[in-house]
Amino acid sequence: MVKILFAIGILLLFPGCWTLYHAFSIGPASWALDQTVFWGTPIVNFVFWIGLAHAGTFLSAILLLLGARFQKRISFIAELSTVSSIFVAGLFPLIHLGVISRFYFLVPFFNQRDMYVNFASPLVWDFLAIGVYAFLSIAYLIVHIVSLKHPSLSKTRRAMAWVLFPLVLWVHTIVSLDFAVSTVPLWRGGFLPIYFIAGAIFSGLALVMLLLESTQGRGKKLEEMLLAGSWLLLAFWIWEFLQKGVWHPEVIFFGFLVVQSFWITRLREKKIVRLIVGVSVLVAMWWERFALIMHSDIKWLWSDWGWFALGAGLFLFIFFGLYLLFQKIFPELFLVAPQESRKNTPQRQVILIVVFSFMLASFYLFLNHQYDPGVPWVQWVPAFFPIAALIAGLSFFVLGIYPLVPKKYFFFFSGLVVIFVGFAAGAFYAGGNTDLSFQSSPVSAEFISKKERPTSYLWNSRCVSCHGSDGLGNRKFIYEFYPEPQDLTLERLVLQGEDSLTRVVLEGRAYMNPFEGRLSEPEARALIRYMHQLAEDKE
Amino acid sequence: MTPLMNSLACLLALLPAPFLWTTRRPLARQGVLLSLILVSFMLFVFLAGDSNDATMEFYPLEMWAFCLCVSTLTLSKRKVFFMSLAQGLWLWILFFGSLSLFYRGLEISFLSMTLLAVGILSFRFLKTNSRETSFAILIYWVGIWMLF
Ligand code: HEC
Repeated sequence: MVKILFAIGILLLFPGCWTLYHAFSIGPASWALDQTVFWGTPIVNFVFWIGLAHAGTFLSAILLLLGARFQKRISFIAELSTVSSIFVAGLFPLIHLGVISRFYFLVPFFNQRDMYVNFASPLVWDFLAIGVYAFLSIAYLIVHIVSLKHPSLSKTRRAMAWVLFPLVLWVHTIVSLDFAVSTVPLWRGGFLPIYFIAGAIFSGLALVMLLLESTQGRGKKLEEMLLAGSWLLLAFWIWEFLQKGVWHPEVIFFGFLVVQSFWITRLREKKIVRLIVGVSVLVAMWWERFALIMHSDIKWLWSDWGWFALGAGLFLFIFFGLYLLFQKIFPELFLVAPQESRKNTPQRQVILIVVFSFMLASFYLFLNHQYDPGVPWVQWVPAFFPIAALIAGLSFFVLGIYPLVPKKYFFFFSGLVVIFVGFAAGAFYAGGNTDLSFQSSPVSAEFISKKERPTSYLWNSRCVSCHGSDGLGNRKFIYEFYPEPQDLTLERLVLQGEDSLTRVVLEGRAYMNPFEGRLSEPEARALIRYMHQLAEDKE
Repeated sequence: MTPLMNSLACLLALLPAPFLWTTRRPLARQGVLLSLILVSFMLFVFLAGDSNDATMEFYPLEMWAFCLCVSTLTLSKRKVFFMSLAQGLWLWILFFGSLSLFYRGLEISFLSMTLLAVGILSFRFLKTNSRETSFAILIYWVGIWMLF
């Protein structure tokens, strides 16, 4: 079964990688992008996969602290699924950026590029929280593996679980803030942080249940938790309806009604029913994110289907690849759980580490704050905790591992890490080339001329961010960043004439950047004609 | 929300608290029970709340967290731990809820959050098993609730 799923993963990666290539070479025009909110299917898939990444830590770290005994058997599978889904999740925001080579602009590295990251923006928090979460989850998995041979590490595991516990909830809370702090009415809601956590854990439980079924057998407690979770989500769906008047019958059917079949023991005993329920929950939770993010009816393109292959393929590939690997080298991982000791890290050490990491994180933010003193301190809190958690988690990890490995290796690896970090810092310091005209345009004129919808591609990738796909302006973006472009009217366009408007596009005007060097003259002219068309359609 | 409704909400949230953990239920049933309590709070806020007040968006969740807080007083094992967790939930709801509203121009009130943080940090030093302390803690939470 494991091998089959691994093979399916590899097979799915073929269309998946093709989609990735397609998306990178064309950019945002290659997927369904809701121009009213400026987000598209990659974000849907991101929220979906990052949600799935929660169950691992929940089932392993949180239940460890709550003292649930059944978590021992499933903790390894759960941690592995977390690590795999974080990787999948992390890919989608990079795709969404469009210009992937510029992703490092999100790293809050003081002000070296004269382009300061906005600490009031949840996107920066996201980057920090998810990065730290990915890093610490891997460290936690390593501790799990090593602690089989060295039971003394189990106290490190407990300490790290204490760091991961709030961190994992923090991550999805921040994902919810991507929505809750925006200007889009349907995304508003002070209840979103808790709602998102519940949804994330719910979908993650379904995934772990499916993985468990396909590798080791039943997880009865998981089924119970899934039932409980379906009711909690129902509560949130009711609240969403009461608040905003929206509800999605498909989501309630797949996410709630189907799950209720677990009350009937005769059904629950059947493996096929359990599998159907697990898949059904995943469908519901994907649908829920989709319904939340994309409000307008947009035609789906190839890439939008391709994300499924990419996400599922990559996940199956990483998860079952690692599974097979570990089965070869550490077969005992699947048989025994790490020793549970009630022993804790000495309290003095804990306090010291916590204080140290809080101070270091504050210092880092203080250095950053000078560049943007206008941002009130509450908006720094979401960024603060992940940084502190990184320092604390890393300290526990290093303190636990240090006595166990030969000093030679320890210093060798630490040296490598230091060199790598130094290199990365240097690269950030230098920054990339920010001259926009330097980069060859992602949508080349030749490519466009071969396609049937040439100008609309260009329009969609270059202009809609401000002008909107219908030319009426992109409300969200204008509100947040830019002054308003003129209303698009036929009269106005005719009055100014094609030539002069083409010059506006190429040379820019007041609040619009020049596109010279990024668009050729014929392209600019074609775009003006396209605007004509849009204006005519409107009349 | 008017002070009257606020007190009514407080009473409503206190009502189920003593009975949450008295019998051992299977996990799923416990989940259904907790969810139904949450739904009833939601309905209450929907009917009685002031729809112009944005904090109503997370008010039922607050009631729920408050109810969970109080219910931990009936626990016999790992009481302090779960007390901290429940207060942490309440703090979480308040902080991140207010932060979302902050972007819409609402002021954040830090008083109740600070008090909750104090509770999380300090209750471990109390003898939580005695009736008097339990009662004092209950008063403390109700105080936070009424202060809002
Ligand atoms: C960064 C946001 C932004 C982008 C991207 C953008 N525009 Fe503009 N555009 C504006 C603003 C703002 C104005 C109003 C400028 C002014 O008059 O000061 C404007 C004005 C115009 C005008 C003049 C309209 C009139 O009625 O005078 C045209 C034509 C135009 N844009 C075409 C384009 C085309 C074609 C693209 C894509 C290649 C594009 N714009 C991309 C923001 C943008």
